[in-house]
Amino acid sequence: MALAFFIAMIVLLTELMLWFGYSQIASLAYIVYLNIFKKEDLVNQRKIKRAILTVRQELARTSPQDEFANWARLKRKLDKKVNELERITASFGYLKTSFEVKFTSFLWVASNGIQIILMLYFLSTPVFYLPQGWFSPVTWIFSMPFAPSGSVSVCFWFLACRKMAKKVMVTYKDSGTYFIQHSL
Amino acid sequence: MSQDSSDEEFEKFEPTLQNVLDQKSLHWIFVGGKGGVGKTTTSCSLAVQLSKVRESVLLISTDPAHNLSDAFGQKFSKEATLVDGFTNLYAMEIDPTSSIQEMLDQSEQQGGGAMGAMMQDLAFAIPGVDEAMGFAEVMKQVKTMEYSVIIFDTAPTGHTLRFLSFPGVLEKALAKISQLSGRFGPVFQQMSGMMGLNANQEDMFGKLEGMRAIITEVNNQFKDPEKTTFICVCISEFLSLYETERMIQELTTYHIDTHNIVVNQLLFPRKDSNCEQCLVRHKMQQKYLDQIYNLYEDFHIILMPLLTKEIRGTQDIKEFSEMLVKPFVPPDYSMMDDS
Repeated sequence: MALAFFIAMIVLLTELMLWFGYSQIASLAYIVYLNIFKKEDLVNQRKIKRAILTVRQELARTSPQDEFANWARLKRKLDKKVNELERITASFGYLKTSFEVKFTSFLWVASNGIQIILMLYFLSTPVFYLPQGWFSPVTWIFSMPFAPSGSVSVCFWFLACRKMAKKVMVTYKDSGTYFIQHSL
Repeated sequence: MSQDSSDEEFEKFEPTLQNVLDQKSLHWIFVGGKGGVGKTTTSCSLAVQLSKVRESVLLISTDPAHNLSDAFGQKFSKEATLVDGFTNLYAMEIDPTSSIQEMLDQSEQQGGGAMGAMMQDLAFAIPGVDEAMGFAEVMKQVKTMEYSVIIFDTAPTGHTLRFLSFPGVLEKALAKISQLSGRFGPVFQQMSGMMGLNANQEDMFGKLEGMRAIITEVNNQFKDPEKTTFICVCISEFLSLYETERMIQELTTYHIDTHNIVVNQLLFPRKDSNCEQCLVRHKMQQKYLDQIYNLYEDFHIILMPLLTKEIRGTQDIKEFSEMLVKPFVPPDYSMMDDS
């Protein structure tokens, strides 16, 4: 029974992830990743943004007609900082896209991979035994592909759990909207 | 301003274009600035001075307004012509519209047909076609290297900078085309066979590759401060100053060297003058001149006066050009007889 439970949990987890959306998870993971590995770059970006605001204010206070030299120097400083900010933002954008692609593919491989590995490992192990005669004459389907007859195979159990999980998700979603509709 | 120049000369850079004359390795000189500031006068004067210390000088103008012909009082064409009164100064005026017309006529003869007519409409509509034509000329010069120094009198439209960035853009475009040609070459050949165009593929791409090599060479030369420099001409007024600053910043992004600013049309009124306009204008010019000295500390700032006559003809240009190398000193009016 432990096996059955274990498989059910895995399927539930996978379905939850799928329902939540790979991209959502990837975005969250990206935020975590940024804060752990790229903290200084983030801090730097924020600093530059603040600096740009101050320089911009000062520039607005300087009259170009009366103090052209100062005004021009401030403008040069501002342009330089704006260019740097653009560069950093672009690099972040690139990083985000590449990270999300990698993470999403990792998730997909992991979830499907685990399922396949489990199925292969427990190819001929029965999950549990069906009571005799409940589903005859088609009991042989449940034991596909290699489990001893009269039992439920891992593959089939996976299938069953997945279908169950999907139905639960759908019901949950529908009930949520139902409540919202009827409470308003 | 010029009276106390002896002290300030130690702090500021020498206020003449002597540095340009001295730098023998210079091959390309651009003279640019927004309209009406005296670009043509400056470029012609500089050409005159350079002709004294160089083997051969070529002055090119892409301005369709034929200003070189006006300045020297002599008709110039798109072939380099010797300027009257000089042995080594040549001038050339590139007329973009006629160059394109020629190009199209040529291609029609070779069998362009329908394509030719379409190209004609397109070609005239493209802004910056002056620059492209001038650039073709530049490329020719790079190949032959006939003249020791080439001065560009740029057009006032402000497309100069696009022209200078042209090499970079073209290089990238050609690189892409070369890449694509490798892949789509055979397809293109089939298609052109179907449409009846006589497109000799190897020839075309061979020419493109050759062009690309020259463009890279031009690009490198323009970015080398030993070989190329840009002289900004402006007047001492707010808008001109603003444009000059913008131009200098853009030049810096293209890595084109610039370290000379010619401030033109300066007024030096007598102290006891009763011309209100002159005095007010002089004051305004001094105000902006101070700002220029403040901002452009590592530039040579050359002050040129507003003369009481137009500068047309070789003699006037020669006189004016002396002031580029010997700083102008306004006459001491107090010592002159008031007659």
